[in-house]
Amino acid sequence: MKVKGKYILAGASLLYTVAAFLFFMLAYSAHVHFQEQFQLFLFTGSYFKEVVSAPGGFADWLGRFLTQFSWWAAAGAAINALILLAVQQLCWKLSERKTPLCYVLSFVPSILCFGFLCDENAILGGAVALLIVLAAVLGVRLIGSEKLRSAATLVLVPVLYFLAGPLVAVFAVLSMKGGKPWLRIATAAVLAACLIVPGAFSLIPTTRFLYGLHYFRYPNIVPKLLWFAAAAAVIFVVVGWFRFKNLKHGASAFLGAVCFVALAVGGVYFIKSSSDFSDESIMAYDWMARNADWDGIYAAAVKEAPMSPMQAAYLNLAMAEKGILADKMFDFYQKGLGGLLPELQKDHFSALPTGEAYYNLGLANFAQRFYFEEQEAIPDNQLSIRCCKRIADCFIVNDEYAAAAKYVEMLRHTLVYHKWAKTLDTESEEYSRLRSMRVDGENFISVNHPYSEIFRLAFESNPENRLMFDYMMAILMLEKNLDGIVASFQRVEHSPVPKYYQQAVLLFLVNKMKSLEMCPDWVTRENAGQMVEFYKAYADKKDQKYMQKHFGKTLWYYMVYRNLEENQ
Amino acid sequence: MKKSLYLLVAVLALSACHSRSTSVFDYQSDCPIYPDYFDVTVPANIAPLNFSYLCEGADKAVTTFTCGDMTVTIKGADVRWKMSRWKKMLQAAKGGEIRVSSPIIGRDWSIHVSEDDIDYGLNYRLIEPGYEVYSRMGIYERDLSTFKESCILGNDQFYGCVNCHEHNMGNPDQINLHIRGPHGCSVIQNGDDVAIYNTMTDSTISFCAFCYWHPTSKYLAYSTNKSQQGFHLQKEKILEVNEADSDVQIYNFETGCLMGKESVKSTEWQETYPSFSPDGRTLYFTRIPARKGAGSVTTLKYNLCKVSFDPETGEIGDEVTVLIDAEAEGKSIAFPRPSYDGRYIMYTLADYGLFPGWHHEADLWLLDLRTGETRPIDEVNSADSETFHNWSTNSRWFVFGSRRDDGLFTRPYIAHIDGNDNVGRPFMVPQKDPRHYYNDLFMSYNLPEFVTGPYTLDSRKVAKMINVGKKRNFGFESQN
Repeated sequence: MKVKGKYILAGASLLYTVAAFLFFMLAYSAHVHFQEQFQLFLFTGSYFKEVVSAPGGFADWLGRFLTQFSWWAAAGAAINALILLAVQQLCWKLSERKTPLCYVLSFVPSILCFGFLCDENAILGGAVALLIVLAAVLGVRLIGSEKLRSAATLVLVPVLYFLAGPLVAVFAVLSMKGGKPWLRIATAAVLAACLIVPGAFSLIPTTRFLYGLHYFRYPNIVPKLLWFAAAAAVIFVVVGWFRFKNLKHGASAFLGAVCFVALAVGGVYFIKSSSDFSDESIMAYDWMARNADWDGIYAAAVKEAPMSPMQAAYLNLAMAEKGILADKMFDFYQKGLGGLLPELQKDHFSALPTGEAYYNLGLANFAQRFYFEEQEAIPDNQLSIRCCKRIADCFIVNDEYAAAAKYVEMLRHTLVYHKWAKTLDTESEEYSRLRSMRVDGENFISVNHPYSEIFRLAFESNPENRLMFDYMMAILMLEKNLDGIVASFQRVEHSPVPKYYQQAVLLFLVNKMKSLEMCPDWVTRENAGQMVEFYKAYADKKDQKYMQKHFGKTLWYYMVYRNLEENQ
Repeated sequence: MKKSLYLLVAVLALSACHSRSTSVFDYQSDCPIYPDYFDVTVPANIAPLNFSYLCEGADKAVTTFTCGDMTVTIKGADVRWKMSRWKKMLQAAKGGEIRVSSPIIGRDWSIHVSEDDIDYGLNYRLIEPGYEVYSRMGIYERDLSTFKESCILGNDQFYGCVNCHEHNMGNPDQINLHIRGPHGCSVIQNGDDVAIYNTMTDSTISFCAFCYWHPTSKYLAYSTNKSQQGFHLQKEKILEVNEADSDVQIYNFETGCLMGKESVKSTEWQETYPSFSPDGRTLYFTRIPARKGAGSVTTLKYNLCKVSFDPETGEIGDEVTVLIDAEAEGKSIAFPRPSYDGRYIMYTLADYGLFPGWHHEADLWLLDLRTGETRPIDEVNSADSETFHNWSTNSRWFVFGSRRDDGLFTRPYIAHIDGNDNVGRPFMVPQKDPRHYYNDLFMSYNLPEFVTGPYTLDSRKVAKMINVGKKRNFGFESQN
């Protein structure tokens, strides 16, 4: 290939890498961050031993090592992009047909791998395993002596199985080229033994060894795109072994260019369909909450109204932290209690907002429970750096230093919390603030306790906890407990009285007194006027669409119309 | 390119390095060694008591072990024995002691070596001390004379929770395992017969849970519990497990039925934690008045009771005798375990409730059945919870779980009791590298019990049975 042509091809790879980097960095950064929190990579020998002791463990360990850098979106995006580039380059190096068309086709396995990495449950170790086996094929090809090559192939199949897992099948197939029949049979036999024997000696079901122990977060799910990428790599290289009539260079270049455009268009479509941007938006809220970026959450919600209960819960927490919950709550679509404190589900993600809310409310025991449960629910049984940090925080807030020390000691061996753990100040501003919000006295909560009761107990135990008060009132509002709101809102001083407490009082007066004559002077004219309009529209039996349009952001609408709306 | 590779290798190598900690948040312990093996009493067939120094300058430590003419010196912060040397010294010290000298901590101490042998090993569940969601867990077996640990049954093999387990007097051929979750069942191995059972009947309130084998192997005493979790808001406490209702029944292998009687399955009382006396003629259990949904958890004070049982006819007695009125002392009893020589009942005493693992104040107590006297076992109790104890088959050793390390993770300890009521200092179950092993282990040892030999349960076969789910059904017979 001419030098100019080489530059063009290299340019295509560079373009692809930059595009992948920008995608992960700008469009999918929350997914990149998301990966980091569901593992706990430790810079210790025992952790290394534990991870590499399973088939495919080294690739898994290397993947975890790289994943920890996803704390920084740019680093995570760069790592993903470089892995994708490496897969493409290795396929190209392994191809025996060096034509522009083949170069274009060498992107196919990498694009499939790209799709795999878009999955929030993909484990980077899977992609690393593919890299390792492809690199090993290339390494064996560099051996000059046939005997040595044969020996290396036979030795490397079990070694690679141990290092990279069942993707060693890629190595076994691609190493058969040019080998004698006995070598092919022997390689196939060794491969079969590697895939079957571990299952026979382990309590883990054999099928899990066959599709990879740590290629995907859910151990019972086959990571299809990763295996498609591996199959594509094999097909791409093997097809190159056969002799076809060579196209003229010009024709090949033209066809390559056409294919490149087609692949680019198809690739964009494929990556788009492999991505989940609604999850990306939820994960963005989660990332901001993890970093206590309450302004960021509020700004994101103002820009685009949150739709999921998780986002709603984070937004409500952000508004409570900013002290505007009782003034702004119904400016956003509320999803009942599930949008304030999502129930604990048996998954590893959905109750994180509740854990975060409890932690910031000073309910360290409850927060600890939620973080512990979230960690337990991680499908591949890994510990979570985020959950461990919060569990340690909870123990510190509760002055349980011996238990905290166990987690802190572990976090000292991590990249992200190393410095925090080394210089930990148990009397820091955050811990002191949370201690001051703690609940004292015997307060036992059974699983059947209603939220309103829990928060009432917690608030009464520590009336200084303003955040707790805001949540208690938010619960009463979401439960449509008008009497409760009116009876409770003056338990702390307000200046001025927040909008939705005013609206509650107005609704109470209309309901009970059928008049606004007793309306307190701290109710704003605007609120009182709007109440009159609402009542008039209600009396005129205006349809719900009308009511939503004019009063959708009021407590009254939530209380009177929300059920109707949900039933429609 | 090569330089980059070297750099990568260096970074990866550093990633796998292990360093001795120097943080301000270092493990703070009054004891300069971990585990605390000062003046402990051990059996002559125990694995090496390896330990580590936690003090300043530990790397320069020199530890000398002496027994008669034998002297072994081990240098360094981590004291690691060669198995053959340890066994030799232990045998020489049987009935006596090994003197340990370590100038770096400025004190000498002893390891007392009892003449009483200990059983082959321990059987326990390893589980993260969680709430409702569970991750990886399993029933494990540990050979006490070596460091070998094997998984008997893990929830990697099926979707569910491996729960209460119980051997018949440490017999590895007889085990009851309770599985919860979508594949819920009880696995019972009774000799060659292994089957899975649906233990719920129309006449019982739930699946069978806590169990205890009758010494004749003809019966299994079970509790059925309607348990629920609750949580404390205040910092001192975290979790509480309480019950809306509970009963005790006895399963008869011959008839395939659970047997219930008013004395142990009453609407007026909540009965739980059953166990048989070694002669099989008495059934011990704990009970409280039926709650009927009222009252604070702090009012839950379980008493220790007994009722007669006739192994020949399977007849449960009518008259319940209160052995210890813990309620009168403002306390609550859990987990009564009679010693196999019939002399003691060991139990856990806490301020309230039936699940003392989460109670920092929970301690082990000993009831002497000859004198009727009961006392806290101060020799083994700590500031944190001690619970889930079990006896060795010769009733000279007992194993228990303690949270003394950190208040959260239960660790197994073994203590000796001689024929004169003297209890030795307990020792933590030895590990090859105990400091890092226990430090890195984020799981609790749950329900440790002694076993007399390696397990015989065919784990794969049982997992298949659990996954297929073809269960035998328990029947029910009322004796009222």
